[in-house]
Amino acid sequence: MTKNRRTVFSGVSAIAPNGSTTKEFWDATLNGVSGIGPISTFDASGYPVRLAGQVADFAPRDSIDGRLMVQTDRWTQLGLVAAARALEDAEIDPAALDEYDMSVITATSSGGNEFGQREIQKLWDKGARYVGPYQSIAWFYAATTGQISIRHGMKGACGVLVGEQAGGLDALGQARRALVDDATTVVSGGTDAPLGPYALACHVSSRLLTERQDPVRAYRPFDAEADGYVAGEGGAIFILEAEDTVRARDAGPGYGVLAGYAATFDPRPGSGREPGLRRAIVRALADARVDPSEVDVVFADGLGVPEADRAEAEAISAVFGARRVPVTVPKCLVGRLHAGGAPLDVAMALLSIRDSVIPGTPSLGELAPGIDLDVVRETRQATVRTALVLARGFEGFNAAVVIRSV
Amino acid sequence: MTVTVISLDEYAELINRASGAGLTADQLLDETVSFDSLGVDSLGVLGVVSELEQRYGLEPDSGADHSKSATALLFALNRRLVDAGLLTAGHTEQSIVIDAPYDEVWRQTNDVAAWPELFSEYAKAEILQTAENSVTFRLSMHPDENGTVWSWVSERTLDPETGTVRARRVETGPFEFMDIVWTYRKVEGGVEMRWVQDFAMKPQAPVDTETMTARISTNSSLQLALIRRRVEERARLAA
Repeated sequence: MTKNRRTVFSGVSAIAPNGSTTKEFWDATLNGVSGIGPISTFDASGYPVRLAGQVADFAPRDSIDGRLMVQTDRWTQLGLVAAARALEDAEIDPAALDEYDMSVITATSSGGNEFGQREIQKLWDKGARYVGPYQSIAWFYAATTGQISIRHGMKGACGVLVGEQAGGLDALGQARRALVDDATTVVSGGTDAPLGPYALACHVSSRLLTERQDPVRAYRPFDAEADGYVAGEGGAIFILEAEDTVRARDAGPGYGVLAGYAATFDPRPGSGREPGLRRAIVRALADARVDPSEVDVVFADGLGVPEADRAEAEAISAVFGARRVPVTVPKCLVGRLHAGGAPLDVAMALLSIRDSVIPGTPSLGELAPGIDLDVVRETRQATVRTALVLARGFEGFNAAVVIRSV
Repeated sequence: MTVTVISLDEYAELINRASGAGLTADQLLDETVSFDSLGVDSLGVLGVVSELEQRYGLEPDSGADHSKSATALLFALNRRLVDAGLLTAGHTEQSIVIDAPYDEVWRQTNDVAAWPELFSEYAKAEILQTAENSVTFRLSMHPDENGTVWSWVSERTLDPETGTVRARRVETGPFEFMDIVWTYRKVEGGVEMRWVQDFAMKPQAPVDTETMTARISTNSSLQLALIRRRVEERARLAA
């Protein structure tokens, strides 16, 4: 008998600025409730940027042991909470499975930078001996993957993908590969929490963030008034399993299938060659054996920077034709979550399939000139069988995944 | 300049700060309890050592044995403090606040015959002689790691008026001399019981005065926390 190797999403957990559980996030998103507000975790008055999408009350102290709190960054705590909830959602008890059959593959864009900043400040202010030993593991890109792996006893192939926003989709591509190899269960997705003073300064220096102070009208992908994005924190973690594994344990069909994935890299700036996003879309669709006409919705990257928005619109229109596919950017409600952003889009794609609904892009006023897209403004009912999720990361990363109903 | 010996409460708080373990002093009373069994991993222990060094301004000791038991680490710290001159060899001062009525604290801690049930270190207490406000007695410890049972005779004089007890060893064993002054006073939150110990070792004793200072400092932190727990428990039962 041929093994059924389709990759199924059997568990989903989202933590976002407009909802710290999957349900709260989804309800808020469908109702256009924004999670963007003034930065409250530190005094940002010296920054040109005053807004962020901050996650409130995800209650790590209830769900994470004090010892783990001391040795982890907020980004890892988000990942630990989301991973535990995703396992629960998938009705998986890791203790009952072979530890070498379970993998953890997550994405991050900048690691434990809040933790790192704290320790580096001790280094500057007081000296090397005041740096806590947990700095050695907490800042590191692999920390979230490692802590999830240790906590749940998952000793299969593990890894971390670093490709800024695109990394969150690359992790899923890698998870699918792990299932083809020898894993039966993969914890994947991504979170990020880069809103501390140091991390935000790094983002601000890119000059891609909006300096607007009105939370509702700040981050406006594809809009004529778009002038940058808002940074956010959070993300989504999934349980991915081979379809035969899901069926064997009689757990329900799952949320959807990871049908296609592709990643490309942009050519050197100034080369005049086409950016890589269109190729990523074409290859992901080919990988999924999906014709563009079958795609019901595109969750766009939506950087909110005019030039980048035009480039993305051109790539989408080149594949689908002008205004031939509904495009949405609900992340305008939460900001860009870096490595957590694309997984959050994937969570939305899966929930759209489940609920036959497309969440809207309420920040959109007037489309920018040259953007020939059918952008979904208001949440609307629609049967969704196939969704395309796009992501671009700083410095040229592109990734696309195709999500299909089971 | 000298420092105060770290109490078991402060030690637990410091371990918690470095490792997030959420311990209380009571969980450190067992001398054999390992950091591993407390859920503190090797980086956590490194953090504890670093916090201790910072607290006392000690130079980092890269060759230090980050001992497996919390008590052994405390002893190593006290030994370094003696070597650094921050604790005075042959002299220790430690205290604890016990949340119980004054008379109850006084009665329980002066009932020498019951000391084997109050301290963890004594196997036997034999009353040799009593007078109105004094008692002479022989204490025998539990066998040490070499199987040796240390034993000595002490004389204890009580002054209930001032809340003071003076004890001295009359059969001093390896000590040249060993005097302890106990003082009791009411403070916010209960009764403060203070031990001031002055001693010196004989030249032929198996340990020198410096090592004994570290040992007594460590052990007194444990015994004081244990006495607090037991006196408070009994006072609650009696109430």
